[in-house]
Amino acid sequence: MRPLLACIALVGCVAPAFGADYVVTQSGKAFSVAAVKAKVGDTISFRNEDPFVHNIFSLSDAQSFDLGTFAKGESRQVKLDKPGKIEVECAVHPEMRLVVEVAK
Amino acid sequence: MTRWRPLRDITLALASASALASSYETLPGKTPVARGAALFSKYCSLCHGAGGAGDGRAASVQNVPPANLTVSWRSREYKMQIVRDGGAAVGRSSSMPAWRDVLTDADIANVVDYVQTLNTENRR
Repeated sequence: MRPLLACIALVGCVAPAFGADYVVTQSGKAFSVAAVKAKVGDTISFRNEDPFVHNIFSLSDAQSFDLGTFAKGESRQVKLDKPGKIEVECAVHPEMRLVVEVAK
Repeated sequence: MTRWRPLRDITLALASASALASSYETLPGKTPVARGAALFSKYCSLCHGAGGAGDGRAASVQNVPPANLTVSWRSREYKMQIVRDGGAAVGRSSSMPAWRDVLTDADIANVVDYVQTLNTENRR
């Protein structure tokens, strides 16, 4: 129980049966955190709390993905498959950046 | 003889700086195509590429390749709609965002003005 409480306090994550789920919100054209430290098998859920669309993608060597564009109140999730550094961007708002450090 | 009025002059200088900062997106004095080119570079080239050929740095992670705008035969009205309302609104890829919350109608018109110049068919 103690690890779960610590996880929620840090970046708003919940721990499912396999790996943690980190919840990162998009509000005011910014991610709620600048960086996330996670492990392989964890997931990150991106939740749009702005009244306009956001987009999530990464072109990083460690893991590249495109979660597409989604509206206010919607979420997209990505599972972290490999260790390394992932830079997450929003195609609609180029100034938005998030770094995810994925450990083994 | 003009008397120096520090407070007024500083206020005017700050107002000028503020005007410059806030007019970055609209680039007053530039042609619509030049304004569209600046906006295209900032918001569209990521997927469509600097020259509009659909080869932007984010093209590789898209399930549906971004449109090659150098060969697009679509009308100006269609382009206005897909930029404003997004790909899903016209039955195309939802990866193309609706830009109406980011760009004004005038911005979108300028972007389309620029996109029209990318079409190699139009150059012949």
